[in-house]
Amino acid sequence: MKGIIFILLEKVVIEAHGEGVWDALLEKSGASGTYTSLGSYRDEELLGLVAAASEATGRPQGEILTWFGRKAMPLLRERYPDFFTRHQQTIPFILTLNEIIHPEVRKLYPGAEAPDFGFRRSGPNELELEYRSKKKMCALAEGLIHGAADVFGEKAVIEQPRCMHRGDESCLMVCRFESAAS
Amino acid sequence: MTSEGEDPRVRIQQLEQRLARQRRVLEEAENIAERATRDLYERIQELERIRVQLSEAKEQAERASQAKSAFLANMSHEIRTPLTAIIGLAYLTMRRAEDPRIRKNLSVIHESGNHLLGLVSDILDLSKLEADKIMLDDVDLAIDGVLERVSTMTAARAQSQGLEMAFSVAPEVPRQLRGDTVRLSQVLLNYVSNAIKFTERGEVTVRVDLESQDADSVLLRFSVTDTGIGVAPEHLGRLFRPFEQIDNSDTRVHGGSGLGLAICRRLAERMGGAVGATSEVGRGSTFWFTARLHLSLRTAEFSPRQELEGRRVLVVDDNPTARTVISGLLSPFPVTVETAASGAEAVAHVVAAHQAGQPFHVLLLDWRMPELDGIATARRVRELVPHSSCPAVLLITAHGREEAIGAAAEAGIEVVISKPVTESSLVDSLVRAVSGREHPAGQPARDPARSAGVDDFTDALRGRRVLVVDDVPMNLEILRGLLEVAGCSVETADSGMEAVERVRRGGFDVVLMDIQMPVMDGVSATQEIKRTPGCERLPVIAITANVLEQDHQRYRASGIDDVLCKPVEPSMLYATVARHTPGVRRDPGTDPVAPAEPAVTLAPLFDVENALGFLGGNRELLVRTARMFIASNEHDVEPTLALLTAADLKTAARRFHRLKGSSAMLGCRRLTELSALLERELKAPEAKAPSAERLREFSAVMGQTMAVLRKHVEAAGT
Repeated sequence: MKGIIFILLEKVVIEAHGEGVWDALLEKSGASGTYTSLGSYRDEELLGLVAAASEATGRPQGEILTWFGRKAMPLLRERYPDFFTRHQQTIPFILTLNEIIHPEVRKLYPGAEAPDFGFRRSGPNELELEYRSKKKMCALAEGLIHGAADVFGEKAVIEQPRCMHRGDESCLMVCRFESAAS
Repeated sequence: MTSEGEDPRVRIQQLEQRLARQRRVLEEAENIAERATRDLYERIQELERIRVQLSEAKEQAERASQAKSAFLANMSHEIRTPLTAIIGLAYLTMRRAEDPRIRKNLSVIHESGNHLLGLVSDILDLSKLEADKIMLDDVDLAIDGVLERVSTMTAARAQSQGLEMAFSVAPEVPRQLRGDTVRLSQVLLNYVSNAIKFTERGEVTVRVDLESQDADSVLLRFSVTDTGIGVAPEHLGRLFRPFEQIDNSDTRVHGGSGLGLAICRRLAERMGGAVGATSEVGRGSTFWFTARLHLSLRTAEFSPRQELEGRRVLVVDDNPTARTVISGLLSPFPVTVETAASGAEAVAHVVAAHQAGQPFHVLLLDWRMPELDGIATARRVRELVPHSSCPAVLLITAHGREEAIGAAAEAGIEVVISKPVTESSLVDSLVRAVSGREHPAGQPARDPARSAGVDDFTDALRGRRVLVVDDVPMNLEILRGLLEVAGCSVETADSGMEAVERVRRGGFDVVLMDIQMPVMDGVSATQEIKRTPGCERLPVIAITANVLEQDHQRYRASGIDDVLCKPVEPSMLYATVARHTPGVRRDPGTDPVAPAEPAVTLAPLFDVENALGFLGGNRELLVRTARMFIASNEHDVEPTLALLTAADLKTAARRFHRLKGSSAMLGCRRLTELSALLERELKAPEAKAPSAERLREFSAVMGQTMAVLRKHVEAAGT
């Protein structure tokens, strides 16, 4: 897992709960806490941190990851505004993931294992997204989608009829977007 | 969970842990940064290596491309030289062959040779354009001239397919411009040829419009519209790309390299314009291009406006497009134009106008019309309208000109215009019809190149004295053959040296000069000739297998007047020679012929066509003039000769001067030339009486001329 994810997590946690909580999570999970955006770190470190947070809050790990993804997206927009400014809506933005955003991510962070998604437009405001990755972080993807909807002033309703955590081969997320105002 | 408000020691411990963590982060970040910097450095090195390789490859490619261009130019030279022989000899043999099958075979050889030549030229053109090696001329050009040229070269084919052709230039288009005539014509010719090629029936219309104009240039739009097979919209864009034709079966039916339109596009772009096409399958196409041309500082020297001021013209044609075009051609002039769609309607118009006291001055009649044709219409008009208010009749024909002239002459119609009608041919004829004569003096002679048939050049070329210079005997033979067929008298020289010597002895109207010759090449020979007093203006036309523009410019800079590329197409040869030897009158001041040389033996005694040219085509007038000439000179020869023996050279010179003028009007060219020669000799600073031999020659020519004229008068009288 690339360091940028850990840095985002650190930022999100400190912003929401303060530095002490981050210290505690590091201590509890045994993670090193020395993250730089260009470095790569073991996936287990991230999962350990999530598990520690889950334990401390009593919430499922998936919910923690979703929460993190949603909070992380606005920070990504600050860091990489170019990917966002050419779109007005969430769906066209998400559709650039495979062709534009992830290839650029791989250039910026050599060794990054950004996933490829399968897309299907199932309606004017609806997008089916298939996720397949050894990391099985569909919850993080779901949070990032919510975060993207927030950025574009929309609201995402996501159903997940298939999930690798439930023994399926891949995760399928059916995302419907509405204007946040309505 | 830790609370921030606890024991300060715990708090310090916490902070120390965070500090240690941040130090580790910093250290790791530095390591990463250093690795990344090294990485970056290596990549830059790699890029630099690639850049060097690329620039070497680029230079290599450029060298290869230059070599390719040079090779193409050389190959084209090598191919053109044998083609000269194939095309020229096929043509000559064809003209002389009796057996129709052999003629047919030879005509196929001739055509195939021309086709091959077209391909070679196309490939060379395209490669030069791609290498950006084509230099455009910026010389005075007349749009009408460009249209004439295109019309000349396409009329025969259009006629044979029975197609109407119409040329029109919007009145706001400036007529005197600067640009590259050859390239402009090339693009237009390509469009028009294509239009004819792909149109089985109907018409081909060429329009020139003013797209925009600024202080010193105009953007003109040339469009060629046909009623042919059309092109599917999805194929239109491909047409202008090299090597792409609509499909291979088309290539087989219609021929062509597929390079023409690609060349057109690049040429138009070089001329600051663009190309495009619209089309509808089965209905026809419009191909257009734009070109930027500079405004010429020279104003038109001659305006037919005064001649035409206030004239009333009736245009009669059953084809509405033809009516519109002809009316349009006349719109810049101060004439009143009315139209009629049939012979009967025309007759009614003319009669009504006569009765209203506003008779038409000119009737422009299409020859072939249903029911009452042009000639029948003219007859009807003559029957119904008194001679005094009978309009002059101009017959317009899309069919064989000779056929039309014959039929028209029988009906007393003097002026026949061939379709496609261009502004200058129309205005020339109109002026001639209303004023009963050719353009006022000072005008350049009409370009004989307008007539398509080779035989049409015979008048323009008969009696021209041509020196052909080439070191290859076969080339000399071909050119001699071509020129003699057209009535020229030809001498040959096989080296630059000999050419200079012969020219110094005088007696030529024009020199055709090969460029590459041993010892003294064509350029040096030309420079030598132009340095010779009296020969400064003797036209020298280079004939070269070299097709490179830069070289042509170099030739021109050295004093060569025109350049023809081998193999020389007969009609191009005739047109070029005719252009450089206009008129038959020799102005002593500019005569390139050295004074001492008698060189009059080959000019015709009596050139009827030539005379008719001066007399507005009026045969009756010719007979009257001939009578007057005979009467006034019958008893004049002896006294003139007496003056010479009495050494009254001045009076004698005046006599010869008068004789020169009057004989020239009658087309008695041999007499004209001899009189001019005598006049010149008598006016020379240290003039003495002409030699006895010269006087005998004069008496003989005078006697022969009188005899021929008498015969003509008698024939007309019976």
